Amino acid sequence: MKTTTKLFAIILMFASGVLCAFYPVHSGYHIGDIAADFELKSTNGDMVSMGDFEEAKGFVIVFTCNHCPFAVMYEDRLIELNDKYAPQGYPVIAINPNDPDVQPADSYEAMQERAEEKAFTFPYLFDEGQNVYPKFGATRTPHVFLLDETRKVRYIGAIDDNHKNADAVEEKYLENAIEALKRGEAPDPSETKAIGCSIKKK
Amino acid sequence: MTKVGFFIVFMLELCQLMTAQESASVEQSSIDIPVMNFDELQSYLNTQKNQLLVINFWATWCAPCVEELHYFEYANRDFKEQNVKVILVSLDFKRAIDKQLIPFIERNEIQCEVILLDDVKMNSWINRVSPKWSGAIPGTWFIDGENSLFNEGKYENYDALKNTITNLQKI
Repeated sequence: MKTTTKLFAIILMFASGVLCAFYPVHSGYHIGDIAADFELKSTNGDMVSMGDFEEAKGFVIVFTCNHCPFAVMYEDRLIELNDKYAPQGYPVIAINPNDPDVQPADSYEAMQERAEEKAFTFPYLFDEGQNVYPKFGATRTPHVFLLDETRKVRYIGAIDDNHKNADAVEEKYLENAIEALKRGEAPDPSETKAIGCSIKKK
Repeated sequence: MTKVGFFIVFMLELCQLMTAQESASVEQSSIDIPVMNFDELQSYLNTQKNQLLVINFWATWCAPCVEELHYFEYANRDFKEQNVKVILVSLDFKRAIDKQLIPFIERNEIQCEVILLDDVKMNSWINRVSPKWSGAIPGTWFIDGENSLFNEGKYENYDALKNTITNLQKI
């Protein structure tokens, strides 16, 4: 009886009270949800929306930033992805979700510098006021959301399976997902995980 | 009851033994950071399961991680004799061990055990820690025997961390 009570207590503790306190319900878009458009300022001063890309067959929305080493490691790969897939109708749109008061390296001015330094071929937008990333449910940088022509979320997660070395990548999750969409198929896997920097907010 | 008493004494001895070893290595000022992939970390943790494990995923370049790190140092100090072990799992890059990680540990006089997790297959091991973890750091993994718990995000104060440990001890 005592064991049963203890077991029950353990189950209760791990499954309810503590869990609820610890794990916020996953908010933001799930696979299959339609993403709302946004209008954010790009590093060149323009306001950018998905609606501006009239020919797009989809979008690679990447939450990324200046300061995070994991994000930096993917900068060149994002340029390559955009150069390859924007002409095919799948442009990359990068969004910095961080509050610069918390992480000064991610200020709009610092973004402008970085975009110029790296010669980003895709728009690098500032989520001023931090209203866009919570809608997507982004939690870290980098964090990718692949949308199809109807702006339905089709893939969420990592760019590939080796942040350290682009040459040692075994699975190009994002590219494979885009290729699946091109074939009219559902990406598999549709969700992956990677370590990233938590999004900085007050 | 005697059995429990014996077990506690045994654990205390073990803790003291380990503490003695740790301080010995600090005196020699030759900090050695074990580098493990996730399987190796898991095997190592399995050998440590006779205590409540508090495992913090962090990196020297992660500001919120660094901000909360001293809470884990306090926990390591305050709960050392209560069968609780704090392990700091660093996600720093391997090439940064000598230039960043070890100087950070020395500068901040970190007493907790530090392990560097070097495993690019993040999509597989993040879920093995917890399916609830999005992959953002900091994050803290509590292992109590066969049960485990995960907290994504920074602890705002020491009490929050302390309360979690105390609650887990009550089970």
